[in-house]
Amino acid sequence: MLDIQGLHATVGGTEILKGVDLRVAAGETHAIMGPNGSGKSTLAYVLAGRPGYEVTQGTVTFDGKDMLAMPVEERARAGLFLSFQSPIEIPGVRLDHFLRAGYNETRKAAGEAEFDVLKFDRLIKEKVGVVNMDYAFTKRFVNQGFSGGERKRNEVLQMAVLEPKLAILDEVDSGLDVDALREVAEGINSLRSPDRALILVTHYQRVLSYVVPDRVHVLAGGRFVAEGGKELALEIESRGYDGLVGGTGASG
Amino acid sequence: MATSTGTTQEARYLAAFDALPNGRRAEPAWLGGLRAAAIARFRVLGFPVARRGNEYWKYTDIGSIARREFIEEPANSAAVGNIPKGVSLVNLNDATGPLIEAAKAHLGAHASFEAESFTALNTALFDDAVLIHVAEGMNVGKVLHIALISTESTVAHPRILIVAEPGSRVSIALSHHGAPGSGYFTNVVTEVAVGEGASVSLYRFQRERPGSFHVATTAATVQRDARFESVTLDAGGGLVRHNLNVTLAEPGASCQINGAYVTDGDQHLDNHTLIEHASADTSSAELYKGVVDGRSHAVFMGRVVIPEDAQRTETHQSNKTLLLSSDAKVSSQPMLEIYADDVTATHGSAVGQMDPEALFYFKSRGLGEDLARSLLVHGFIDEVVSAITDDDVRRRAEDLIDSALAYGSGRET
Repeated sequence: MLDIQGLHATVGGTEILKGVDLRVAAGETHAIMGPNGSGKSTLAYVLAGRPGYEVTQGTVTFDGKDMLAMPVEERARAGLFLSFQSPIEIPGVRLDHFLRAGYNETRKAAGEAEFDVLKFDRLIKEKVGVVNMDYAFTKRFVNQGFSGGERKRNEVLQMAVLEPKLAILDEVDSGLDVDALREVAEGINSLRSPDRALILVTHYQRVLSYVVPDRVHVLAGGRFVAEGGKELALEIESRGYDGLVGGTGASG
Repeated sequence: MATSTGTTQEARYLAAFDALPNGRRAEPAWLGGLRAAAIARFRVLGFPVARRGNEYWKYTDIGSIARREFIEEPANSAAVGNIPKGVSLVNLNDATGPLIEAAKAHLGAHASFEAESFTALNTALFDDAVLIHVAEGMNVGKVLHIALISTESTVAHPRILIVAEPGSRVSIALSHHGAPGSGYFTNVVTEVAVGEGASVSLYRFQRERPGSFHVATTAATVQRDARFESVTLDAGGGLVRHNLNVTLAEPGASCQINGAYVTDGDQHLDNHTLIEHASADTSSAELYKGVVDGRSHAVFMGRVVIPEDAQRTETHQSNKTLLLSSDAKVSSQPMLEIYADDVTATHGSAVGQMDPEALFYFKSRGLGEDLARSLLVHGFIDEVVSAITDDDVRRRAEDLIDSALAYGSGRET
């Protein structure tokens, strides 16, 4: 589904990704771990197409298509979803209005009929249950006055509505207490399917106890330096990144 | 202010006044006296000139209005719908008994022409005034709609007087339109007397034709424990100036004055507000938001005066602008003149551009550039529109802003 080869990327002229290779197949869940500044979030943003993140070398193929040639919204409509680490608040725009717009654009791109307000309302009422989110939040402005945990639930709600083929979840557990983490993780697990791939980007192992990955990759200094099964995450937890990678990536 | 010596610009209007039939339509003597004083004042003031030192007009050059020859025409106004009980809506010429007494007491008492050329002109030349009188204690459940329509190449001086007697409540929507064609000039003056314990909401829908000239003066006096609300929506016109002056005359008086505006192309829009806390224990709040595109220029000047004895006053002011084009211009100037010491005051002015983070967030959910921008722009201005409590007025406000934004993005011509 996703094939990254030799990916180099710069932000503000500084090279952050220095040759990343990754293959993710449908149905798989991958974890990308790494110390602060290793390039984890940069990788997530490059895949989503964030402006200012410039790919200087390499290729990214998504469902057989050259993803780097696609504008942000086309990547989303093709089935890519990024759960933001710190989703911003947007006063004046109601969550349900915004989400229906994105949902309908995606349906239009797929040649499907758009959902009217009532039909979409039924859909969203069903989906709020996935992350145990209060339906009333969908009538509020996007993330305005939402706590950190509510923002994360909102991201997963959006994922549940948009039903992407590939979801990249950037630090999805940050700001969540244990109970909230369990609920959000249950939501994510309920969205796992043989047609869908997940990439969890995380500093800590914690979330991986709830959403158990098939593969774990360790990014340091803009490259993958270790790869293994779910047990690799536990090893990082006990030995730290320094112990594992000899301190190569813990700077910056 | 410049005098009219050596120019013919003022002379046109002075001649228009002289050409009026003596004792026009058997006007009462007090009105004739008011008009004579007004034209005399205009003769002294002349048209304002945008130049250094003239703070009040420094961003707005009305030379294109002064130089132009318009056809004098009576103001064309229409009340829409039925008039509810307890409300009198009459032309001044038809007013009798207590209504003429109310007019005599209030006309010219709120909108002073002492320093205002356009108000002087309006007072001297208005053909007839619309008088809205709300009886004491009357709660008018529905919104009164007044439409003002101008026609090509004409000048009109619509005059509106709203008198809300003590304890009454009323909401009035004034809408400004133009018949097809442009190049007309509307010089409207609206006076509002908010009696003790009364509440007046005034909604101004400005959708003048492109290339037209529009100068509006709205002056309200708010008595004890009374409230004045104003929502000004500017979505049209070529050169537009709106002076909104509120006097909080007695303790307990308060006002909320909001504005939303959308400018594009070569439009010039100038919102001047003045809130005078003429008494202790008064409060005011003000929120103006604008979306400024093309080569347009949007001006906001918000003056608040709190004299020494106006203690325990509260004032909050905010002007936020979304600047969508590098060729567009925003001038925003809060002016707080506070002489009392027991005052709570806040003010803020911010000019921002489309937030790239927000744009990216929306696109990452599948929204295209146009749709994402449109939602964000609407969201920006929503704060003003969604605060309108009357459902029907709010929907009309949404429609007005929508149409202006659609026009701005080139989807409609």
